Order: sequence, then structure tokens, then C-alpha cells
Amino acid sequence: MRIGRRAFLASLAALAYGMPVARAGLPAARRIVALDAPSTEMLVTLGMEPLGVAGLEGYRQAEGDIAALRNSLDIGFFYEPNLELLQFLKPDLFVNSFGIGAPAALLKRIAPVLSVPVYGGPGSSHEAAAGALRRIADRMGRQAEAEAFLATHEERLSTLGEMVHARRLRPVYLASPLLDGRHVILYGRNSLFDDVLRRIGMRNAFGGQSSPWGIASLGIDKLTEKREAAFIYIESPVTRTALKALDASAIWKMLPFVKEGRIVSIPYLEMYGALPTADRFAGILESLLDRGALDAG
Amino acid sequence: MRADAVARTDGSPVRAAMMIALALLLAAAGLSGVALSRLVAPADWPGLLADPAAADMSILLARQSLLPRIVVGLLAGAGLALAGVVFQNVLRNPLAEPATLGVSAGAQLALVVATLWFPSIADTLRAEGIAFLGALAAILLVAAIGWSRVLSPTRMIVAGVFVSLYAGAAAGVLVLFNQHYLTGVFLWGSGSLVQNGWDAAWTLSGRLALAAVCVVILGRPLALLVIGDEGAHALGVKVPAVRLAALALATALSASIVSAVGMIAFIGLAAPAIARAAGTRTLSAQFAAAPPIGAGLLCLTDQLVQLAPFAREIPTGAATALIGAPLLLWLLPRMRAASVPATQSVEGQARLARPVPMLVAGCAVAVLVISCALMLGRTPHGWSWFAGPELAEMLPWRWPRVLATFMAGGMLAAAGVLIQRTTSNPLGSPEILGISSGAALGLIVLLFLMPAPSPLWQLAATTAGAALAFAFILAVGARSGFAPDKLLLVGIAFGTMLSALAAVLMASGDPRMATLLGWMAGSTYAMTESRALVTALVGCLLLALLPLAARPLEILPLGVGVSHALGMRVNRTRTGLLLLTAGLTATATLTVGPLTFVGLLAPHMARLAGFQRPVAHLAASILAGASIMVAADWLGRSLIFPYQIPAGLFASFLAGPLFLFLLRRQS
Repeated sequence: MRIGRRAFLASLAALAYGMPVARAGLPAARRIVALDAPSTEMLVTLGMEPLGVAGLEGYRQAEGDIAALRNSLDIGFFYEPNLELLQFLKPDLFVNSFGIGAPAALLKRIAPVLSVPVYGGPGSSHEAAAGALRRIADRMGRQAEAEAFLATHEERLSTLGEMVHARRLRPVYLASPLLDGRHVILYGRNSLFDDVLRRIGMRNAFGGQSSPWGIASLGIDKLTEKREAAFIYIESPVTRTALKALDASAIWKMLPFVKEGRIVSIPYLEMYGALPTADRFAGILESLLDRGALDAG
Repeated sequence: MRADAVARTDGSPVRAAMMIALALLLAAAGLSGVALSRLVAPADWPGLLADPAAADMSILLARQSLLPRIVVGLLAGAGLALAGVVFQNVLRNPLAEPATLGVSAGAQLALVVATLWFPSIADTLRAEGIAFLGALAAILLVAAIGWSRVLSPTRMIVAGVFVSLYAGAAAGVLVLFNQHYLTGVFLWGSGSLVQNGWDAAWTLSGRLALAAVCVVILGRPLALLVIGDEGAHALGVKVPAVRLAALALATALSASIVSAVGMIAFIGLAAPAIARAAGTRTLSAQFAAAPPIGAGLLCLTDQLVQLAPFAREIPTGAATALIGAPLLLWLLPRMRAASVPATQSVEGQARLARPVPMLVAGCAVAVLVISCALMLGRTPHGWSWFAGPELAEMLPWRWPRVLATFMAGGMLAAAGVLIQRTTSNPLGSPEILGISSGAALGLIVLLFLMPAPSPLWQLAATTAGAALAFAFILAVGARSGFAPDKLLLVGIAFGTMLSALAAVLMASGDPRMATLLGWMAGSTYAMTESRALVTALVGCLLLALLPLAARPLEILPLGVGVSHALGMRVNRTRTGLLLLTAGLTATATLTVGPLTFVGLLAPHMARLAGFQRPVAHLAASILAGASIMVAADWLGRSLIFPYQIPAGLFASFLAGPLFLFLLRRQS
């Protein structure tokens, strides 16, 4: 019975491949499971509705209601997706970007695994993210959507680059403040955000050592190296408490960007996101530049 | 003449202790000077305090970050030492301190819960109040367990360490569930002395001054408690009131320190211990000597952490643990024999005349648990009992975990029996004595040396770690006549080192650490068929050796002389038992991580059920341990479906209340 259903679904999928008209009506023809947040956002960007999403509860909390994920099932933490549930769901494909959690050897028994790493590779995370999006699109037959997205993104970056080139901008610290009021997470080399800043010719004020995935957690007394820098923090449900704690701190009050009011908050972005996150970040930078929030002197 | 003699015997030790304190403080001052001179040239130091409106960033950093950090280190160190002295004297327990009594962990857990659920409580006073409530709950629980009619120091510490581990496990789960924003990174784990202002320093100095006044008031009645409750009562001391007041004082002080700088272990233990090792006997001498030593220890450690050439910040609390634990291990054999009574009987009261029917019943329970674990599970539609082809599809995911946890639980239980019987220590177990931690440390060291070691290397490294830890425990034990408190100290030292390393790993914020942390929490997620089969094979080989241990286990507790007379080669037998225990622990730890407590619990359950003779005790314990672990794994992957609680963590949760109940009943 089940084989019959699967065969039916497979033939539907085959149909969907060949026929763009049919595809629009059957977005969930393929049963795909996203094993982490970057894979999820890439699939959503390509117009897919994943069957299962790892850490869906936290993702929804952070990103709000996303129509494409309304029918998706939570499959557990990204580092331990529930194998029994996956076996029960019998997806056609796993997409993973972190490469942490269920070993591919185990997952392959249920369905093939499309592995599209963004972080931790030798090159830039931004290039890896673009490659990852293309590879998913190739597999899904959604090259057109991917290329359209990439083109818009590149255009946005080059517009931004021109804007940056035309003005004198401050270097920026990009941070997620931690709850204790003494530490911040900084995004540095190897991070997607740092790559975007580089691409458009902006300077990251934090040039210190960061993890292979591009972050470093530091005490706020280390934020003094670039006196002229602006401080951009990413909002999350914890930032209000964190900033309240920071306001009580003498060092914080004395930091140049605090004294001179160069603190900018930006909406939530995934800490380890993929190209859609990078694009959203670029969009945010664009509006900041429009506002003149980062202009020097 | 006599007064003179008293003054001399007490005077010179105090001077010796003060010299130690002075040396520590000088070293800390020297390193602080180095750190300060990196920021501000020594010639400009007078200007640091003189010119309040200096805009220079380095002067600002020195004034608002470096100097308060030094002061907070000194204050927190002194406070922890003071709390340690009070706890140790009131509870008549040389091992009592905020960390070993679970007080710090209770305070920290309360703070974590408050931060996650009521994030608006950011201001200091309310945070301190919440920390105090948590600390109070912990000390009440520990006291309730350790203080039924007779005060049992060992029991109290075991309860305290257990409460700490339990709170740590609970916080671990909470952090797991909130990891989407990585808020947990600095929430749990180790204390950090990073300062950015004088707020914490002012708060702490106020609290410390208040505590010092209380100590002066309580000092005399407290000192009189040393002569015993009746004697003190006869001299007009209101014994319960004094005890209560002193405990409340030490608890409040610990809570303030936790809410200011987080959890810092060992200072409260080490400072009074060093003072005593220098010869101070009287309470007032300890009150005078321990706080300066604690202040010097913590400040020195903190300066070392800052000077160390690490790329990322090492939490000071982790450093005190990493430095303090080996220090403790080194000091242990040199410490005077403690006043705590040595061994307690491992035998229970009731003995089963015919153990076989009970064993059969135990087997039935085990079979029931295993069938549930294999066939009953959850789907998006609810619970369902799988059968036929559906079960066949699901089994490859379930049987490796069931087999591996079954074997691991059985091996830990067997190791627990071996340890309890060879050390005549009812609280002996791979987890409590730190043998599991030793195994885990072995693996972590290996991971630092090799990026992706093969399973064989992993087994070798964990076995080596477990064997070293157990050999150390036996060496310390042989010197101290197996005094339980010393053995427990070794376990605490290993356990603290492990959690300190875990805190450093966690603070890195690298998502790849999730796998290692998952293993440390006892996750059996990545269990494959081949790994499960290897575990089972090694486990069966080791368990098959157990009948050989039956005779030594009956004879060795009778003493070395009797054993020799009965024709036993004591040393060789002991070594054999040691290796067997290490092998069992290592194999099990590789599978279910270092934290389970099944090795402690199962032998006690079997003993309370009436299994006394070694072979029956071993068999029943193995059945109990295996069933508990399988049940923990099954429930852990079903209860909060599709999310999963690691089996080791869940076993600790299952075992915890039961263990505390047993501990209390043991009187």
C-alpha cells in the first residue's frame, strides 16, 4: 500500500520537474526535511515547503510565522533530529548545512542527504552560501528562482558598494549582547556578516581572532580598539535585559560609541544563517546608510 | 607558663598561615602589577585614583575594569573562604563549602530559571534575593538528608555534591531548550570576574563587612560548639539558634557571591584546608587566616587566567577548578587523617534466604522494560505500539540504543558493586568517586591530541583515564585507611575538573561542541549497530570475569592479614579488580557518558532488596542498573517527543530523588 503511495508521490514529483505550470500548484510534491536553520531558510527562499524542520519551535519563535512552514513538523534539535520520527515520515531528501548532528551514514538509510556547508570551509562563507543555494536549487529544479534571488542580491550588494564608496563610513562592531551585561558575541572573520561588510567595502571594527564559524565572545572592555566605530547589535528576545545590564556598567558608559550615541539596533538575524540572512543584512545596512546612521563625523 | 605555651602553639601556626596568605597576595599583586603596567605606565599610577575625569581609555580601563576585578577577586575569595570556615565548623565537616554543599549550584540554578522565565529581573538586589532563595533551598535539602538525628558529614557532602550535579543537569536541560539564541553560553558554568565598574565590588564589600560583623558576634558561641552540643549548652550557648544563624549567614554570603561573580569552586574548600594544613586549630585562628588565603588564591588564579596566552577568555571559575583540583589531589595524601569515622558497613540488615525467585522477578521487569523500549514509541499521532513490518523498520533505530544502554547500565552497576566492596564505602560508585570523570577526561585529552580518533583509541583513552583515576583513589585510600571523605574528595576533584573543561568548551559558543556536550550529558543518539555490538561484546567479556571476583570480594573486606592467611595474593588481586573496574567503567562511560549515578543506585537497590552475597549482589545490581538505563533512554526519547533528553541525564533525574531518599534512610 505504502509503496503505491510513494510511487504515486514520486511520479507527481517527476511531473512537477517537467512542468512549470504543475509545479506552481504542487509546491510540496517533494518531501524534504531541513536539518538546520540555514537549510530551512534556503528552502523557504526557493519556494519550497519542507516536510520537517529541525528546531522548528525555536525558529518560529525567532523568525515569526512563516507561511511556508505552517504545515511543517518539528523534528527535534538540530544536533539530534529524531531518527524514529524521520523513519516514520519517510522523506525523500535531507538538506543539511551545519553538518552536525545525525551522521550522514545513518540518515542515508532513510533518504539521500544533500550536504551544503556554509560555514567552516576554507573560503568565504558568503561564497559558500551562494554555492549552497545553487546546489539546493539544482537538486530541486528551481535554478530560475535561485538565479533570480542571487541576481537581486548581487545587485543590492553592488548598489551598497557604490553607496559605501561615495561616503565616509565608520567601522562597525556587529554584536549580540549576552545576558550578563559584561560580554558580547562579536561577528568577525569567517562570519557571513563580515563577508558582506567586506564585499561592500565597509570595515568591521572587530579584527581579532574568531571561531572557524566566525564568532567570538569577549568582555566589553575589549571594544575600545576602534574609537570611531559604531556599535550595531542584533535584537533578540534577550537583548532588552542584556542592554539594561550594560547600562549599569561604567565601562559601557565610557565606551566612545555609547558616549557619542552611536548604537544602532537591527532586527533579529540568524546567528548562523545562509544567503537569505545575508541578503536581509544587506537590506538592513542599506536602510542604515539611507538614514546616515553610520556616517563618520 | 601554660598560657604562654598555648600562645606559642597557636601563634606560630597562625603566623605560618599568614605567611602563606602573604605569599599568595604578593604573587597576585605582582601579576596585577604586570597587567596594570600593560595598560598604564607605572609612572602614571598615582594619577589613576587622583584624576576622576580622565578621558584616556587605558586609564579608564584600568580604573573601571582591572582594579575592580582585582578587588572583586579578593573580596569573593575572602568571602568564599569565610563561608567555608563557617560551614566546616557548623557542620563539623572539613569538606563543607558553598560548592560541595550544593549552595552555589542552587543559587545559580535559581538565577538561570529567573533569567529564562522572568528576564526583567535584572537589578542586583532582586537577583541576589533569588540567588539566596535557591541557595537556601539547596542547603535545606542537603541538611534534611545529612542531618537526621545524627550529623553525618559524609552523607551531607554526598547529598551536596549530588544537589550540585542535579542542579547542573537541570540547568543544562534549560540551556539546551533555549539554545536558539545562544543565551545559555554564559548562563551556566563558571564564574567570571570580568568587571566593568565598581558596583559588584561595593556590593560585595558591604556584604563581606556585614558577614564579618556577624562572625565576630557568633565567633565565641561557634567556638564553644567544638566541645560538643551538651557542653556548649551547659555553658549557656543556644546551640540550635547559633547553628541556624551561622548557616544562614554562610548561605547568604555564598548567594551574594554567586549573584556577583557566578560559581567559583574550591576556594571555600582550599583556603580553610591550607590554613589547617599550616597548623591553625582554633576557630578564631581559622577566621583570621582563611579569608586572606582565599583572597590571595582567587586573585592569583584570576591574574594567571588573564596573563595566559589563550585566544579566548577562560572563565575564572573554570580556572580555579582546573588549578584547584590537581592541587587538592596533590594535597590529599599529605593531609592529616580526618576526624571523620572511617568505614561503614556495606552489608544491609535483611538478607534474602533464597535470592533466585527475586532474581527471576528482576529478569521479568528487565524484559518488560526492554520490550517497551523496543516496541512502544511516539509518532506525530501519539503513542503507538509497533508490530510487524513497521516494527521491523523502526527496530534498527532502537535496538542499538537498547543494547548499548542495557550493557552500559549493567557494567556501571557491576563496577559500583566492585568499588563499594573493595573500598568498604557505601557511597562508592564510578560516578561519585570520579572514575567516570577520569574516563571522560581521558577522552577529552585524546580529542585534543587527535581530531577524529577511532573507536579503539577512544576505548583505550577512556580505560586509561578510568584506571588512573581509580588507581589514584586506591592509593589515597590505602594511605588513609579508606576514609570515605578522602575518597569522595578525589571524586569531587575529578568531577570538578571535568565540568570545568565542559564549561570552557561551552563558553566557546561553537555549535560543533554540541556533540561533545551531548555525550557528556549521556546522549546515546549516535549509537550505531556496530558500536552497540562492540559495547556488548566488550561488556560480556568483562562481565564474564566477574565470577572470578566473587571470592576476593568476600575475603578482602576481612583485612589484608586474613586474606594472606587464606592464601590470597592481595596486591595482585587488588590490581586485577582495579583493572576490571576501570574497564567496566570506561566501556560504559563511552556509551552513556560520565553522569548517570546508576553505578551508585543499582547496588544499593539490590542490597536493600536483600541481595548480600557477592554473586547474588552482582547479578541483581546488573539487572537493576541495566533496566534503569534502558528505561531512562526510552523515556528520554519519548517524553518530550520529538525532542530528546539524553539517557545519562535522564537516569540522573530518575535516580536522584531515589538516591537522596536512600541516603536519608541509611541512618
